[in-house]
Amino acid sequence: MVENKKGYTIFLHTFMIILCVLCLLPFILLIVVSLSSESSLLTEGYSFFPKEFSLAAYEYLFASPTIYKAYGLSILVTAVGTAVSIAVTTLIAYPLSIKELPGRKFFNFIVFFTMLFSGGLVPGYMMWTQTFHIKNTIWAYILPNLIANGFSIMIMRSYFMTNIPKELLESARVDGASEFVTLWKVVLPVSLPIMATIGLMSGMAYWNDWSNGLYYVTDKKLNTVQVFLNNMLMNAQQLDKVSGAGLDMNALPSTAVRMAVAVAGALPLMCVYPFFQKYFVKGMTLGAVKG
Amino acid sequence: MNNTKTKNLMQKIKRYWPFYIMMLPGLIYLFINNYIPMTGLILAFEKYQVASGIYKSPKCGLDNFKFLFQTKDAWIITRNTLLYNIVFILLGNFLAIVVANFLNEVKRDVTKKVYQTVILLPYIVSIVVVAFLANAFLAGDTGFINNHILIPLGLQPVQFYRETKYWPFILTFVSLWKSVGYSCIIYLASIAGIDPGLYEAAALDGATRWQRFVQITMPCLKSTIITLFILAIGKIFYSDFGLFYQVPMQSGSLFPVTQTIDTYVFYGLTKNNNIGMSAAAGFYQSLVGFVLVLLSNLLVRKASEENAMF
Amino acid sequence: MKKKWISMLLCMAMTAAALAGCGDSGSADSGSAGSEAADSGTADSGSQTAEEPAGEVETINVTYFSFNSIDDTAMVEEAVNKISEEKIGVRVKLNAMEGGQYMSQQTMLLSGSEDIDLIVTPLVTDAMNSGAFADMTDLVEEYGQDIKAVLGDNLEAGKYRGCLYGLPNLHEYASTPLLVYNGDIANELGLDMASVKKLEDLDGILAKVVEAYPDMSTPLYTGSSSGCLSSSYHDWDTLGDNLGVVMFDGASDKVVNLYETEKYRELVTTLHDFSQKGYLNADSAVLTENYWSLVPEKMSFGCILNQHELIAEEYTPSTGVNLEIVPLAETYRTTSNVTTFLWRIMSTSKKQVSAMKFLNLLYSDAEVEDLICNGIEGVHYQVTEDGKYTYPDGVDFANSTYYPNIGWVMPNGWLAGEWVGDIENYGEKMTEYNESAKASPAYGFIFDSSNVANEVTACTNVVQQYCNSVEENGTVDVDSAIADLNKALKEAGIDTVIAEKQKQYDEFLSNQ
Repeated sequence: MVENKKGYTIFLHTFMIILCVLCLLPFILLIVVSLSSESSLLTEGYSFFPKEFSLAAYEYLFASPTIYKAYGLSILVTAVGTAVSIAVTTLIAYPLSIKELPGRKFFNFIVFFTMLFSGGLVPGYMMWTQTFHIKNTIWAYILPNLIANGFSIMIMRSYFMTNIPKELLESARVDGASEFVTLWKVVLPVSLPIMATIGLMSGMAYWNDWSNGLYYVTDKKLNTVQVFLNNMLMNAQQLDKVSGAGLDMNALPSTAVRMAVAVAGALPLMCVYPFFQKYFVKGMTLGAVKG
Repeated sequence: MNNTKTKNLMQKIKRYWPFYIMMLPGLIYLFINNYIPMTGLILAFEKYQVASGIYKSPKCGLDNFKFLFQTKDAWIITRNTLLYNIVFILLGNFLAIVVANFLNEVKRDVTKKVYQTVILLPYIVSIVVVAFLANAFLAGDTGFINNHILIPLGLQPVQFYRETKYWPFILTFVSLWKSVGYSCIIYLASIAGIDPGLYEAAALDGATRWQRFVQITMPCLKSTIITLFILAIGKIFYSDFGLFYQVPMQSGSLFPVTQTIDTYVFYGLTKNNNIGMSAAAGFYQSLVGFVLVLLSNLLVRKASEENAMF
Repeated sequence: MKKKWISMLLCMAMTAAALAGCGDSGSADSGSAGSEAADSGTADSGSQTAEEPAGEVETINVTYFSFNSIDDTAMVEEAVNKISEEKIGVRVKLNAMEGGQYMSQQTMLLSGSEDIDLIVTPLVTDAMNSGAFADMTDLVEEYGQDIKAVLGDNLEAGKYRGCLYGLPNLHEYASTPLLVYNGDIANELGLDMASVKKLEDLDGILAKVVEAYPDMSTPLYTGSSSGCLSSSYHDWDTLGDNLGVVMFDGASDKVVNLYETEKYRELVTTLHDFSQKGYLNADSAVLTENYWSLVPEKMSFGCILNQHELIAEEYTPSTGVNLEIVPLAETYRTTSNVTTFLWRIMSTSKKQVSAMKFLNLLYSDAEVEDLICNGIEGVHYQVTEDGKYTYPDGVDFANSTYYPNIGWVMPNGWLAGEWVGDIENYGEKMTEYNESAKASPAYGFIFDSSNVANEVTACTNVVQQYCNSVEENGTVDVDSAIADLNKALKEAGIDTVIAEKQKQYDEFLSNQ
């Protein structure tokens, strides 16, 4: 039995380490390429051991003052967006978990239906810009992503249904607490794991989002990091297509810059993620003990 | 009789009104963000005219849909979209559950954190960059596989971007590589929510690790799995555009195995960006997905009522 | 439900009858109804816009794009407004977008939901069909005298079904199938480039290059964004999409299937030969680097493409390589060349007169053009002793806050100041080149694909799938590869496309 356990542990870690190497190697390649000189890239192709290192890509990237502001805005959007998103999601998911709620099936379907049908880009765009005028405001990042899809509502709802003991709710009601107080004082404390999960998912969606910026923000001052970086990549892609004369090829970000762009976009999240993960894990254990 | 029913309902609503208030912000949001634009699906049946706008443009029946079904490509793109999605759903969920289960059994917090952070890396890298990285491995003259593996072994180099037979595997690998770290988060949360006492009791009873996985973990994950499956089925006619467009580097020779509904629509419509035809493609995808979801939900409901989504 | 369908059908029948003309052109009957409806259409827009905005200064939204730095657009806008308010009584909002963003948003920008008055776009036939743009015929007559002087005959290049939906900017109006090559290598190896008259002649040259530089990955660069060499290197009029073309040396009134012509077979045979000899890149279908970045590293010798003759001179400074060209066929002026970018007034604009006045200014006023193209003197550039522009001290390409580099998009970029290292008198040289070109027999013809949109979609996909392996893959048999391509095209309905094109082309020719 003990032997077996050891063998299993070895197997488990071997598996995870292989998986990690598979995930890590391309990422290391990405970093190395972003630090390679352009000429060694062109003559040798991508390599883990380039002939010549160079910081040129990062110097180019950070020469623009816009990028620092963009980082600030990204943080703001992610923080505000995630907070509001969790609030709205919880408020709609909790009632849907109450089995006796009249019309529950109907509301469930309303939520669910949004995940299947979408009106497409153009109508949504017209409405947000013409009726709500979110173009070139910070809301352009926050609103269209608020409930990215009904999915987060669905999993939160099923979490509430399976992990909140009915007796807990009943006793709160007997004590005369209002439904809002019950949600705040009784339900939320035991729901931290799901909050952490939804928050993590929504936070990542906000941080990585570039499509709203693409459609609703044309003012460069309002670029988030991802929008800034994505515009750069897209310029390069489109520039290849418009073979107009007199194009300054300097405008084309080199391969190294494209890779640096990827690193610059992902690295902050990578640095922050382990810290949030702490809460994520903490929340999980907390929820498990009390639930 | 009828009276008491209404009375009951009134009473119920009186009792539950705070819940409706809670739902209000979310419902209003869904109405604005999702339901109003849905009326725009009418574009699929129109020849769009700027002056008339979305709702008053001249109707053209099902003309916009024809291009999706007209050629023999229709069969190929539908087949590719479906098969890839089925493989991605099955393998993706399987791997995610396995990895989540392993992660949950890692005892040391630091190790766990390192593993989880690392496997999330691919999810964060944009697909454009993934395409570049894949190219670094696959390129004909400078690629790793040719230069550092096949040629040193005395094998013939492979022109990956011209040979269709490798791509089903390459695309599946890239898709799983990119998504597993993220999708296992959801399973991890569900597994962590399982009462540890259940496992301890089972261990005392002498249940093996596998038995515990099958008899405790899987049943607890059942509703999560079903939800994820039904949702994935709703999207089965959509494909991950970035994956199929960027990673094969738009190489036309690979179309028989890389072309999906989304890329077909994109290639066909880039020239003249017809709003009606794009809307038609989207409508078709939504509709098929919707029907499939209703069907699978019906099946689930028959099997176990409580796990059905609605 | 049934009732709904019936009313929908009724609706269809009713609206089909109402379609015609410039304002709300449908596809039903093109051409013939054009001129007649044009009058009513413009009369309409005339009544809308005829009232002079008395006293009040209108602000119009001008939307364009840049791939470079445009951070200080607001500052430039202010300077432009000073001039334009004084000269024509119009203020502008310069809506400069990031190039990549502009390209992906185009559908939405043209869907009529935006508050745009003046915009620059590619040919976008579909937007013209949906009535996104205003007919400019009368507006040019009344407020565009300078435009008429500058553009001359080319004014009408943007004419579509008898309506003037856009004006071409000043740029190269023709293209030559040519070889750009590294002159340094040619000198070093003593290559006799003068002997090269057509594509096949490159064989001996490339053989010597490959011998001297065995590590060169791409001796002859053939990549193009669409994956098909025949879309970027051609000696015929592509009529926009290569699906049905007009041959310069064939019957000028016939639309033919390119992929069945002898000329195409010859091109493909030559390329096959080149591919087998290792002149082309093994991954020609998926090249990630462009020629201009490969050539300084000596990873590529030459590149074949359709371009104007100044291209080598233009890229010499930025590549640091002494580039030269050899024409491989004659120079022609085609609709696609002239209409790369068209300046349009949106049909939804309520300030069409002001927009036209400002457009007129953009075509003729050097000061305004210079401001938008180069920014403000002393801030964004300084002038050297010989009158050329250069970056101010401490500013370079990477940190400049305004270096839009949009001379090639603006209506008349030739009016703007020239930078150190630019080709001198670019405008004059280009005008000379444009005038030297022969006009394609199909010059002025714009194909409306809306009646055969399904077939065009299918054919585009077929071409995308087959062309690279047909054109640049030495391992397949030429004849069977071409036969496969044509078989697939036939199934996709290319004959229908060509028939429709021929019909429209006949109409076009008879109206001339």
